[in-house]
Amino acid sequence: MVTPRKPKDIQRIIKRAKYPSAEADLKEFDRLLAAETFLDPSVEPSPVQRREKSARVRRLKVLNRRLGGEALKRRPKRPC
Amino acid sequence: MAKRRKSSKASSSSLFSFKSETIHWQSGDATKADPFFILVINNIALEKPFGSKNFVSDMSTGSKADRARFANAAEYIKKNLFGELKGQKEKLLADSPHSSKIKFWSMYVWDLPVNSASSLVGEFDLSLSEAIKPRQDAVVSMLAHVSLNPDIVYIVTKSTYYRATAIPTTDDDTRGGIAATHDGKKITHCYYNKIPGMVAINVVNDTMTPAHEFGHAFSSFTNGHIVDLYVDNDIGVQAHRKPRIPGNFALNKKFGRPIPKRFAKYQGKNRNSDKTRNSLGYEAGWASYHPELADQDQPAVMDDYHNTTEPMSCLHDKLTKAYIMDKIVAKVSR
Repeated sequence: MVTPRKPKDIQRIIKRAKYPSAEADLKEFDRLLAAETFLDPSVEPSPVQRREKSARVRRLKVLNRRLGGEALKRRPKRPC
Repeated sequence: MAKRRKSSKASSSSLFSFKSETIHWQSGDATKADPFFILVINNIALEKPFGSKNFVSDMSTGSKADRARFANAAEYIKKNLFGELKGQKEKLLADSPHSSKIKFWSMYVWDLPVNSASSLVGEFDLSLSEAIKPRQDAVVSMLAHVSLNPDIVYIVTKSTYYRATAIPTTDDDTRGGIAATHDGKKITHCYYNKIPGMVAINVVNDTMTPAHEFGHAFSSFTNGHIVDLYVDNDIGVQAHRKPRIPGNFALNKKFGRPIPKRFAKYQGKNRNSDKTRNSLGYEAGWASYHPELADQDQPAVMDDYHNTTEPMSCLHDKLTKAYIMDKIVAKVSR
């Protein structure tokens, strides 16, 4: 459950993205982001929920890239 | 504002020692061993990004300036939750006849190593989100180490990401509560939690953010979930897919067109729908609809409260407010 964006921040992102459907993509991004926080993180997700989450994360990554966001780099895993 | 400042150095079992400064903004019901308790705590280490195990120092210097900045943030949160900010119409906790029974403390902790145990907040790994979220397991461990057992905890960070995120309360359904009904289903306003509701929030705050996130954090995974109204997602529907998650339903959002007059029956009383989402309007293609607004001229607090010229005038919708007031009764009567 995420705080809504301020109008000036929405405009900043849309202006930077420079393509016609940026606003719709941003709305979809925020819709998926809100859905990410609905399930209880202390409860093991079911296979169905895991599949839904994977699909959501894949779509979030696509939208993030399209709208000019960066995927923050994770540290490479150390070899065992 | 009457407040009592207490500095202390505490040490716990064998894991770590730390210094802390606690401000008792409001002591709550002194006759109870375990009054309804809201805590604000600083984040020592920030995980960048979430899940990476890359921890950087956050609000942890212990300097006078850092502590003052944290105290200002705690004061803003307190004022917002108790309806004390200038121009604020939603009185929230102050609208409850039990508001003086609520304990509100802030605790600044320092002299802790920067690692996974002291990292209570992480940044989402997609930068477009601009959002921070609580690291639930670390928060639970930290609360055990500082020997505090709040119902709601706000974790304050200096992250460059400004969007706060909340995780609802995981109720302890085995320890009783006050029975309620929602659309004929029995729910319980539980006395106790297994895991407190938690909010990751930026040190720079404005408008109604603490109150908005309180709505999420105070709601429950098993007895009604207060969700965001500014997005048209079907999360309330997902919860009823197989396997079912008992009780995890969106309290303040439903789906379908045309929008019916009645939104829900809560505690035996019919609650109307918000047919028009007055000041904002339901967008074309949306399937969700909301409970009736308390003020037809402003968005609800759980809606897009930034999208108005008077964000401090936003009120909770009628159903959400009734639910919050009932939950307070349960928490103060345990």
